[in-house]
Amino acid sequence: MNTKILTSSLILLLTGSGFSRTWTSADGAKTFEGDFVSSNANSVTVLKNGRKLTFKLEILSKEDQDFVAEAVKKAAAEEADNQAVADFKDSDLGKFLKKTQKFSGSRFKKHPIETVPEYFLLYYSASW
Amino acid sequence: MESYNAHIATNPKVEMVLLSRDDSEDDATAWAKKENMPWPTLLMEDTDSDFLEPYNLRLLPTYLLIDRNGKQVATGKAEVFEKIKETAK
Repeated sequence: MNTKILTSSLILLLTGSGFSRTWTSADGAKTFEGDFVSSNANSVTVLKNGRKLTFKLEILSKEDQDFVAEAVKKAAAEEADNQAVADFKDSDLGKFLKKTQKFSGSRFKKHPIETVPEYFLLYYSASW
Repeated sequence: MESYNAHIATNPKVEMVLLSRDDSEDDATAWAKKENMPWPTLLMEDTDSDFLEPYNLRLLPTYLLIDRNGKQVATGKAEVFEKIKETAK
């Protein structure tokens, strides 16, 4: 399966909720509260008092830079996972497994494959 | 079920899929209900037999381990679960 290569300047779009934090200048002299919005290789965009502000990473504290690096890494991993699933669904095996169902309650319900493991155990069997 | 619970249920590297050979969905449903099957099932009516042809599945039950590209990795219960145990290490 081919996995698409991520571009070097990955731009992340994350909603503000859940990413509110205190940001600190590199010299430690100044701080402010803001929600992480997005980032690329050199800068970060923060939502502060309803306004989007973009800062160069170099003017922020090491802790903030590490936070952004980690967020970029997580987003890249998620993007790669999403792409892997999309590629899988287009593959012959993905198409073969497109109509999988899962037993729930009293009947089978649609259960599409949403994550792609390394292996599939195909259990070829019957009730008789 | 014991092997599934021990080696697959909490193993993110492996997904088990039942390829049901029951002619009717009712029979497959009754079996799933009786065994309280936790794994995904592909009913016979939804199975592309052409895709399965290269794997030469003839006997029931058959255990076949393939990778995400469809490449055969192991066959037979013992070999399959031996390989699955390796993935958990």
